[in-house]
Amino acid sequence: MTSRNNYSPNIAYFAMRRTIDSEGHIGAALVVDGKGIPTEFRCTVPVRPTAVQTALYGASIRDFIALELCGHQLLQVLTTSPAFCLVESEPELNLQTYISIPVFHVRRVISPGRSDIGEGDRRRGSQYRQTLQSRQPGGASVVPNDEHDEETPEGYIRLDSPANFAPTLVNCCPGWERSLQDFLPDLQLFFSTIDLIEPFERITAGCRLLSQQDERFK
Amino acid sequence: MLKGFRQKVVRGLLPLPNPKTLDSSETALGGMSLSEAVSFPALYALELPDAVLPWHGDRLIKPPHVVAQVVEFEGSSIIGAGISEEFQLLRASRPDTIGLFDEHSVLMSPQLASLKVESDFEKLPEIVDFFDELLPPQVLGRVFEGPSRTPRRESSPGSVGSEGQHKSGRCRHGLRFGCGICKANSTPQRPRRRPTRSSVPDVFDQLRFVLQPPLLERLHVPGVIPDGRSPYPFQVEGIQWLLEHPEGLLADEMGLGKTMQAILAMRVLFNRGELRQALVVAPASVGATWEREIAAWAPELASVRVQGSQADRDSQWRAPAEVHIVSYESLRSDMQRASPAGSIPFDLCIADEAQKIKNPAAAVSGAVRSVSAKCQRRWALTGTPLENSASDAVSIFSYISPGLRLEAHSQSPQTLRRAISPHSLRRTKNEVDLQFPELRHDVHWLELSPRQRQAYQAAETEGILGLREMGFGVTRVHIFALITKLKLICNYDETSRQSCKLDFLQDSLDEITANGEKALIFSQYPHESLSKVAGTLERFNPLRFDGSVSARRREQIVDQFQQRDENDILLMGIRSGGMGITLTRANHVFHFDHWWNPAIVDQGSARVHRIGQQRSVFIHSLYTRDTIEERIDAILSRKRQLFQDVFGELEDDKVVTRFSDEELFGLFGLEPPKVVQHR
Repeated sequence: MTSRNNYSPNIAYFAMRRTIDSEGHIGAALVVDGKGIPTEFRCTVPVRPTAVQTALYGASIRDFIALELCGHQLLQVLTTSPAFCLVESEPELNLQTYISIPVFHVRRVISPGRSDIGEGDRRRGSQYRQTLQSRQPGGASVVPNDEHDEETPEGYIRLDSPANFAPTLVNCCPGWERSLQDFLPDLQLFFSTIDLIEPFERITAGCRLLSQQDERFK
Repeated sequence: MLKGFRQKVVRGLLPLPNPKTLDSSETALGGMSLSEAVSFPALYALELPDAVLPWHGDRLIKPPHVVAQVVEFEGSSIIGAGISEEFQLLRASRPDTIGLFDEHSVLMSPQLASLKVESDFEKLPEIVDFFDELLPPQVLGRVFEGPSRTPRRESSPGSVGSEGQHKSGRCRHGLRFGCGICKANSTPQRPRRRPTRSSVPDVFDQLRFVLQPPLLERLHVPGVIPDGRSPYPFQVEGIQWLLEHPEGLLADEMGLGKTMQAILAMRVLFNRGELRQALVVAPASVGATWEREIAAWAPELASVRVQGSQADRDSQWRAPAEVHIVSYESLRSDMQRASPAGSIPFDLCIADEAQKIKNPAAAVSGAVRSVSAKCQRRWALTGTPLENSASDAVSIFSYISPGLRLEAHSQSPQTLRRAISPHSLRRTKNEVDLQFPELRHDVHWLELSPRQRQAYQAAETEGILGLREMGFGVTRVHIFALITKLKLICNYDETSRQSCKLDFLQDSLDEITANGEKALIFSQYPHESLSKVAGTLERFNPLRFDGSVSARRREQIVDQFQQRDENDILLMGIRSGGMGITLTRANHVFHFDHWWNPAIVDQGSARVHRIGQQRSVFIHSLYTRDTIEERIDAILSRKRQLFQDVFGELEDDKVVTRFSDEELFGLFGLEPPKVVQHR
């Protein structure tokens, strides 16, 4: 991953959404090119667990549906060859066990005192302390951890966009830190023109629309 | 144990543990690994007669009294006691069963255990397994290959059609569909879970707008709008205003790009997934403009014009387009019969040149209100309503925002203005931060030629005599008839074939065309006046645009005038050519005569003084001295000034342009007939 002057990888976004009645889980994968233009979209018909299934799977049902039922097969059927996959919820980093491309978790910077980073994050953070201080030419800057201890939990890399998008944190599964470093320039470049989080909103809008107008999603 | 309850002890597999709650040391339970356990979840249900289960949705109105208790476990790796009498009753997948479920037990290991069940039912319930494993769902979607405007039909895998059917309806062996060779070669078709799937559009087609990057913030990004176009900042503000106002009147001065703002706002809403169907109602003469502007500013939106015969229109209403464009007249006609128009669930209705619905009792107004009644968004576009008529605004808002009920304010322009201001946005060319070309208005007072004067005097004298002879039988209609006759002579005297206005026009056009510039010539009498002068102006290769020209021909005329150099002038009827058309290739406008309402005249001028105009614009108003034109202008000027002084910007054309009997008869030195009241 050295020269990326003319290289603009496709990026996959994976997210789970609820149907309008909140009872169905829709898995969706959106692939965008380096300009944020969609190149592929796949989604599942809603998974609707019964009340019994919901109770039986307990708190793990969302992750079970997201990882085992939806994410796994959605990312496998993508044909536009994304370089990596971004997820918005940390448990979805476990998709990494199913697919070969790197999976990164992105989220907005949370103000001090409002951090929702769990103990597991801190544990992993101690194993992988971010030291990058690079800046991709024309891209977003990577802010070293020491400058914002309060806002950037250990294990996360904070990206600031020259396009004034809200600062964003990114992390990965333990063992995939090298991949994150490799793709960091691509993330920086992308973040200079496209909000890294924004495509998740498109997935939200898309799933909402499908829930409203497609019988298969009602 | 509860007294009087029957008991039964059963054995079975308890519910599975929650994988997330177990540490690695707990993943091997009862001889099963965690993954195996996940594969074989189970739960017990009590089988009860359906008649005794008063279900209300997923809840039992009066649950039967059932108590179950885990009394025995086999194996050694018991995590928790899991014994509870607080069992939940759940609706099972079978209608005649209820679930017996204890959340606490779920956290236990999947052990073989015994349940002791007690019930107040005479027949002791049987226990059945009703757990359904969650299965991977069907995946939809595809790679983006560009917008497809019609639902894609998926060919059946392995069917004869996909094997080799040609467009001709024959298979690749040249035989009719169903050829034995192809049938033999085809693989067995898998049973389809959803037989109607092929008629359903792909999700990517349904979502092609909302999957695009957000539009509003990217309007200035190259490529978002083709041909390097980009809205001005004040237009972006207008777009945002429309987005924030589901019920709004965009009343920007003519030429500031109301159409484009509405199209881009519409495009943003499609992009956000907030629109699925939009309707544009516009004068017939500007339908083509809308079609062209949508293609330019929102190329991914498919638009269809609803026009032509009734059968054509029905077909066009059913066309799978995001935007339907229809004229007021066609809409009125289609809403008065059982056409598809009434059944389309439009989310947005845009009434362009909304002064068309200024009469609330008119059929077109009713049609627009009716077709838009269920729309989430209703916008009106017009450059003139507030300046011309308070009552116009009341009618237009009865479409935009029926709940506003402006009738109560219609008597007071000030309170009306306050009531509608939150729902309307108006910017003038002077207000926007835009360097418009200079606009110069020249009023030319011309002298009738001697023979023209002679004809005029004769006609006026004869007319006044005729009116006097009619005595009390004279009405306003007779006065208007005489006014028209005199104004036509002011334009062109047919007996002498002289016209001071034509002479002036020729001289001016010689100079204008010598500079490579073009001109529009407006008249309220396109047939009576412009057709007479057209021959004299032949050397300027005039084009004509009036009510007698078909809609299709009008589009050609506009294109020809805008894009080619050979036609120097365009002769236009003020009513048919004064709205919604861009004719910026011309920078001179001649008003050969003047409509009662100056706003109509201004609309004509705005065809050239608008965004896209590169040169200074010259408006030439032609009047003849000592004629009816001068007298009418004097009264209109006096009334306008009076109204302006009293009410400010909000005028009322019914006050300004409606002449009292005294004023009208006074034009000819007559007194209106007095009404004698009998006791």
